Amino acid sequence: MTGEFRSRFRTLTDGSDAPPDADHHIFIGPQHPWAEEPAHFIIHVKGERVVEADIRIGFNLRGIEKAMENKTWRQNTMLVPRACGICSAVHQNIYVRVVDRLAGVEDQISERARLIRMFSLEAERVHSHILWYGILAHDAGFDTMLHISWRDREIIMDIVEDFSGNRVNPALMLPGGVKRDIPKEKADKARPMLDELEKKVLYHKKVFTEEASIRNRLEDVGVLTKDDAKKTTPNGPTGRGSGLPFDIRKSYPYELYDKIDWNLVYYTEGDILATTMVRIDETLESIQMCKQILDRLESTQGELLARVKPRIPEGSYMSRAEAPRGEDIHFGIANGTDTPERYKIRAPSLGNIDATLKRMDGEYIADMPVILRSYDPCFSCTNRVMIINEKTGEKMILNQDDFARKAIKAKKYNRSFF
Amino acid sequence: MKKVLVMGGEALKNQAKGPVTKHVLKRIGDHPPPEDIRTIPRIIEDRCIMCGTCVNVCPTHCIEIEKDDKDNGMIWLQRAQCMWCGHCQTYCPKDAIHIDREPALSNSLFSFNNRQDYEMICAKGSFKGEKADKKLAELIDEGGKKLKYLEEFRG
Ligand code: SF4
Ligand code: SF4
Repeated sequence: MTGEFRSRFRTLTDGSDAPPDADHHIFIGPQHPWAEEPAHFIIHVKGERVVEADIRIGFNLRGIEKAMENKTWRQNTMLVPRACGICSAVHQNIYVRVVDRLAGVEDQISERARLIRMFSLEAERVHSHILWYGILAHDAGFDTMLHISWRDREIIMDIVEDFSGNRVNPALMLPGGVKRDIPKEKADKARPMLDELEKKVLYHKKVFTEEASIRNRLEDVGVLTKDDAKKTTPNGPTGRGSGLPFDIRKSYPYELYDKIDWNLVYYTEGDILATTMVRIDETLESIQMCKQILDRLESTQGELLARVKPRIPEGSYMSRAEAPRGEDIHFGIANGTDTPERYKIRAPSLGNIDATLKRMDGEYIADMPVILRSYDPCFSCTNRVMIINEKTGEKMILNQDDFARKAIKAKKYNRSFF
Repeated sequence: MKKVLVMGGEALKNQAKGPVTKHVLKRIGDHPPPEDIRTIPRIIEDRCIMCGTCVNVCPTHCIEIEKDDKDNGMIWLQRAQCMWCGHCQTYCPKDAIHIDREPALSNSLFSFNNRQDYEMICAKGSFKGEKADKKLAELIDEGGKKLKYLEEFRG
C-alpha cells in the first residue's frame, strides 16, 4: 500500500496485500445477481463497515477495436455504436466526427444535419438517465419507482423509434451528415409526448426528493467530497454531483451545443442523492433541449448528407463527447486506404471506477449495491487491452497476474517490458 | 421535507386499474410498429444495376452478389445475419433498395429453420428462374450441412 495513491487494481491471489485491519473479504462478481455486467469487486470489511474495496475488470473483452481494423470506414459506422448497449448514439457521433475531420468535410455539414444529430444525442441522454435512476431505485429496494420510471421511459423510446426506425440503436448518423430527416409531421407528433414526459420526470424528481423510503437510502451515503473528487478524477454526472462543474458540451462545445440554451447542472453535496439529482435535472434539461431542437428544425433547411469518399486520407484525430455516463474519447488513425490503421475507444465508466471505490471507504455493506450502481457501470464498453511490441509486432493478451508480474519485474530491474 | 407515501396516489390508481398484463393483447393491436421501422432490405429489380455497392458497405457481409454484367446477375441475403442497419439502402446509387416493414419477422428469425435463412432478393436477366433457384437450393443445402455439424458437435 502506497498511501493515498495505492492501486485499486492490485491482485489478491495470496491475500498478502489485503488491508491489515480488515477481517473479512467479500467477493462480488463477475457473475452476480446484482450486476448486469461482469466486474469483480473485492470488498474488505471489518464488522459491518467497509475498510477498502478493489476491483478487477476485463471479463468482457469483445475485440471491437480489432474488428474495426478489418472493416472499412463505412462499415464501421454501424459497428461502433455496438460498443455500448445504451449510449450507442454518442459512440457513433464521436466516430463520425473523427471521420468528418479526417476526410475534411467538417464544414460542409449542414446545420440541419447537426441538429438532427443533437436530437439523437439528447434523446439518448434522457432514456439512459431514466433507465439509470430506475435501476438505482431497484437496488435501494424501491421497486415501485423502477416500474414507474421504466413505464414513462417508453415515451422517449417511442419517439426515438419513430424518428430512426429502432429503439435503442438509432444509428441516425453517417460521416458527412445524417441518414434520415425528421419531417414536420413527426416533430409535431413528438412535441406533446415530450411535454408529457417532462411532467412525468418532474413527478420522479418529487418522489426522489420527498419520499422518505428512498431518500433515507441515498442521502449522506457514499459521500465523495470535492477534494477526493479532484484526486480520483471522476467524469460526467459522478463528478458533477461532487461539485466539479465539468461538461464537455460546455467546455469544448461540439455540434451546435454552443448555439442553444441550456444550463450546466451540478450539485456540491457529493452523496448518491446528489448524483441522482444531477441526472434527473439533466434529464429535464435534455427534454427542454429536444424541444428547442425540434423548433429550430422547422426554420432550418439544408443538405442532409455531404459526400465522403470511401478512402480516408492519411492522418489522425482525437475527438470526445459527453456521453450520459461521462466523457467518451475516440482516437482514430487513417492510413490513406478505406480501413482504419488503428482505432481506440476510451469509454467513460473506466474513469469513474476510482472515484466509486473511494466512495465505499467506511460505508456499510448494505449500501454497497447503491454505491456500486452510482456511476452507471457499463463494462461492455470499458474492457479492452492488448499489448503490442512496436518493434517486433509481437502481440500478447495477458491476464492480470502476468501483467502485474511483468510490470513489477521491468520496474525493479529496470529492463524492457517484453 | 421528508414524507411517506408520496407515491400513494399512483399506487391507488394502479390498484384500481387491475393487472396491466390483462390488456396486453388488446394493446399490441393499438400500437402498430412505426411506418419507418428498419428491418431487412428489399431490392427493386428494374432499378438495380448490379454495381455491388450494397455488398461492399454491408457491415455483416450478409449480402452477396454473382453477376455477368449490369443486366444479368443475382443478389442473395442471409436473413439471420442482417442487423437491419439500412446501410445498403443509404449507399445504393440508384435508390433501388428499400427497407421492408415486416413486424412478424422476428418469429421466423428465431425459428432456426435454415430454409428461411437465405433469400434471393434480386435476380435479373439470365439469372432469373432456374439459375437463381439452383443457387438458393445450394445455399440452403450448405446451411443445412453446417447446422448438422453443429448438432453433431453439440452431441
Ligand atoms: S441494389 Fe443498389 S447498390 Fe446493390 S447492386 Fe443494385 S444498384 Fe448497386
Ligand atoms: S441492412 Fe445492413 S446488415 Fe442488412 S443487408 Fe443491409 S447493410 Fe447488410
